[in-house]
Amino acid sequence: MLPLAPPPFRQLRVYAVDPSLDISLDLAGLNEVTLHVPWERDPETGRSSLEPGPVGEYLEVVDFDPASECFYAPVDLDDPFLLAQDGLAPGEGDPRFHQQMVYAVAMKTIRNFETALGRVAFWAPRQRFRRRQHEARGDEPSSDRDEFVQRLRIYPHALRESNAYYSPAKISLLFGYFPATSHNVRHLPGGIVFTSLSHDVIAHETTHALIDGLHDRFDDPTNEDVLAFHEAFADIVAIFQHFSLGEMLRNQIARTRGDLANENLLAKLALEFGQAASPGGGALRDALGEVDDDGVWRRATPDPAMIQGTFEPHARGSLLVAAVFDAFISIYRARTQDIIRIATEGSGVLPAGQLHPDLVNRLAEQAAKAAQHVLSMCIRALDYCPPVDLTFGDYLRALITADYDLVRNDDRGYRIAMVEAFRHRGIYPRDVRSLSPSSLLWSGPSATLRGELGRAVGTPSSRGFSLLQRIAAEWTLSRTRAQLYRRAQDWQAVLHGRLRPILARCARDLGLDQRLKFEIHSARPAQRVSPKGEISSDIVIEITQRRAAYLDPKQTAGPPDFWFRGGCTLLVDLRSGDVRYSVSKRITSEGRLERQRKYLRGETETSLHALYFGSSPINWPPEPFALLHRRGYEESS
Amino acid sequence: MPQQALQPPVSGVTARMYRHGLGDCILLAFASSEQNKAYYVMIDCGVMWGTRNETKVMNEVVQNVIDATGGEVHLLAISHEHWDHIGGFTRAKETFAGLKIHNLWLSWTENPIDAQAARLRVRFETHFTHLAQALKKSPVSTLRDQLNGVLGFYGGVNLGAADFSPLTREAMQDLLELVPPEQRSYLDPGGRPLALPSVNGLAAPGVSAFVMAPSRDESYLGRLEGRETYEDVGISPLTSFVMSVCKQPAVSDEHYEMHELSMPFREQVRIPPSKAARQTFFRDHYGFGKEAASVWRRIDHDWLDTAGELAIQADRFTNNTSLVIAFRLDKTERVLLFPGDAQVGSWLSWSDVSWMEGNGGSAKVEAKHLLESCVFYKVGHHGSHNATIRQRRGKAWGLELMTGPDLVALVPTNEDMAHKKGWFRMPFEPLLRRLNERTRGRTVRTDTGLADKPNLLSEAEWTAFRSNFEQTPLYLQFTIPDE
Repeated sequence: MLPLAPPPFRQLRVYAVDPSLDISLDLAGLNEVTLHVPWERDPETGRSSLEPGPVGEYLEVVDFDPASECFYAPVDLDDPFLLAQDGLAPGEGDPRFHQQMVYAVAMKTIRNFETALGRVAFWAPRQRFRRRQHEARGDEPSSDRDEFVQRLRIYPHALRESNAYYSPAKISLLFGYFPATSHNVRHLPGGIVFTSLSHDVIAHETTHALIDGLHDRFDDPTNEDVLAFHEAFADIVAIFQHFSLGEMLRNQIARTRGDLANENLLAKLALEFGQAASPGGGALRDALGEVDDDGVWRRATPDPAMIQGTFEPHARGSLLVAAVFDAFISIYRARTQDIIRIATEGSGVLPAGQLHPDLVNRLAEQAAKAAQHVLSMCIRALDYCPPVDLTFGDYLRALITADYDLVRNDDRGYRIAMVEAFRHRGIYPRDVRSLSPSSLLWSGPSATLRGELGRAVGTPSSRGFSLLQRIAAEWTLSRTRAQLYRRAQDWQAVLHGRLRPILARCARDLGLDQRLKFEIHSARPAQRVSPKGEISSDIVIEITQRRAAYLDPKQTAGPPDFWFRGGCTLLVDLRSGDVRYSVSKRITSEGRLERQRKYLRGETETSLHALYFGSSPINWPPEPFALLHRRGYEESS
Repeated sequence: MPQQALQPPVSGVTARMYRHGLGDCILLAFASSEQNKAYYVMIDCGVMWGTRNETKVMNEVVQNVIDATGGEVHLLAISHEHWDHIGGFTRAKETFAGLKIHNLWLSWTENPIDAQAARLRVRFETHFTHLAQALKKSPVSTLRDQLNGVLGFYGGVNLGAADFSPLTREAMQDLLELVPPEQRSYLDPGGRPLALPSVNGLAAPGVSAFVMAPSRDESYLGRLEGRETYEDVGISPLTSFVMSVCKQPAVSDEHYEMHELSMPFREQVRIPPSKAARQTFFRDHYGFGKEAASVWRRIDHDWLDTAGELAIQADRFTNNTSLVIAFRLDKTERVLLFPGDAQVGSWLSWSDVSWMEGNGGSAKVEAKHLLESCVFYKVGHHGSHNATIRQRRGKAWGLELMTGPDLVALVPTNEDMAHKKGWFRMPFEPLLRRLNERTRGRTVRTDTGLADKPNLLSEAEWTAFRSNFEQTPLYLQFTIPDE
């Protein structure tokens, strides 16, 4: 008998948005969507390796509800009954469906990251958080080797409150449930709202965990953009994943008559959560506009001045989300101009009444494509960010450079659309001469750096391999994530040894101080495929340093008030050994230090929670994201 | 008048603010209707729970009040029921026996026979009991510390007691005993400006008191309102949280029903922890037992963290019940503003209030006018970031309307104590900076006292200010003439 090939995907049903749409007649049919998540399998036999929970390669769902003092039995997605019908049908009453949904949506989010970045995803190591606490207390960080955390743990019913968060201390996602308070017609007052049934909340929190695994310092608030970026990015991922929901997309295109700049569900975030948590509320956030006091939705006009007065991380982050969404709208319009012209015989004015279903399909196809491009572009840019002290402006430069690397000529105008949209929101990089996409590109490294570093990593050893060749080979040969993780730790150690001798000559170009110790923060290979099918392989190396700093500029000795960090991200071509970019935040920059002092002195913080509990960004709170989320909720209501 | 007496100017007022720590106690001496006699107003008396030598400190303050007034205060105004504003009445109870207090002003929220106040109180107490329950239950020390910090405003929590009652209640009782019921007034904002009640013919003519808050509109008070108590139909987020914090045997069918409603799933699917601990899946994946590899990822107590939010709500609510009074010296229309610890909600509510004065109430006064004429501002809530506001609906409001050239601000604060409590932004630097701009350097903190001549003041202005300002280790004092 011929052996059967293992299936590429496991099909699982989930809510497209969240349960609240189920009772709206016109949308009810669209609210169920079948996701294709990777078929997790044993490499030898091809059989499913997914255990009850679900517990797989990346995730483990453990359903403990401490407030109700009970556990809920794990779902077994390999049960033939479930395999035969794409998992359990969406519903609120069975905790096993909740487990299935968090698993499916989180896996899809992980998949999007891996595809865009061209490598497997890792979670943050267990020691990281403890190290951070040591630091906050001013102790020397412990030197334990990072422990690989294979799975992100997901607790679908961890909290009894209108909240959900990623816990870096437990490398876990904690989802809450709460009775609805609103008198909104969609809700039974007192009916229970589950954050673990909201596509957006799951995608958002999973993204927090993914960024945390990727960028150690992106939750280290050294300026007002850092935490806002974490939030914004998580929202961007949640929103753009909406566009892969085919039926919903077609419905919304038809409804907005092809103009996605009108009010639509795709641009709204966490609909049920927002409505249920505050009386008379709409979605938690909306990338396009807002509902005013009279309950009428209005498109928000971009105000470049707004960013200067907006500091609460969610609110500030939503400006970045709005900018990216605006760029998407422009791209979508550019991509559909011809279709509209054909459909309207050149007039560009659509006739009254419903759109032709074929036209809706074509528009939806373009929207989905544009959304996937924008999402990939956004994720890919993460590799082009400086390792510390990220600002929105830096991110814009990273976006432009990452896209330029993959698609040389911007014939679809993606980069111009991004720059334009960011400009309308008042988001500029601090250190460029003009806002043309070409001047926003990160500049290449100096000839010295290129030469020195190229030699350090490209010279063959006694065994005949250069370091880069070794990395490339080991990378391809690693069979499990755990193996790859440990190898990457070795690469970091070797890189450190290679860099030390050349530091004196390269310090300036790397933004480092040769007198200080340095750390190879990470070394991650990445393989990307351009739309034209060209493959490029890079290794992304992050180098960081820190020095003691004081709130009072005149102070120079004694226990530090905080650590001032600098360093750079290097992109090195894995094949040719060419150092392509060096994105640095100079550790020697007094101007940046002064800005950080200002920020840390709390000249921008406004929440009561911060006054009593959060104290100051210098102190490291036990659950940083929980604070962010609770606080966001408090202020939005 | 005795030697140490606090003497007002011939016309006008002298304000004395005590420097006893993180807390409020203020004594005002108004020029009175009788020569060589002052009309004394006292506002609040307390210091933060946990202050060193609290009893001794408070006794010193009260003794000084007695010495300064000759043992007679004509009017006592209490802003709100927080320990740092009323704890002194308990701590210095014996000393208070030597002080005769003739009249007492309180906010309507303290009125025992006011229906709205009673309703709010029930809500507040329920809320508070739950908070204490959560605290009792939580083994997480950071949360306990945080909660205790906030609860310090209420005189701390006695966790041993079966019934929970904040010590501030006791302090309130102690102070009420000092003034017979018929001399107590519970005040509402607006209406007509009040004259200071005369005592045996002694009055303070030419002084009007404007009650600005607390508003009767509960939306300004904070988020304790709404569907958050047992009396409501259905179940609210708070009830749901509370049902699980206060696990008690079902006392009634109704209670059982409520408990069931708060559970997310029906009974058949719930696996009790004792049973789960014996199942392979949970034993392997949850981390039962102290030795389990994944014990660090357990979530047994994380859900209790939300209690912090409840504590903040309680705190904000009480702060927003602050009785806010503006005293106006009628001749020069100079205004002294005492906002208690009013937070954003209260400040916003002031724009809804207006007063009628003159014959038949013909002239209308608005909060805006009072702010514009303000010459003395008792900075609210010890200089915290959200108890002095700058705008309302995008327009200048609060401090930004205090545009008079002679504005002076006194800040009753203590940075060391605030830091000890973990409140690293009290007083709030940016606010202090703005206050210093508005007052051109005439902002004085009780903890640090008066600094050198600020650059923004001319030599003449500085001399004028200095001649009206006095500072001792025990108090700051400033005189505002009404001429």
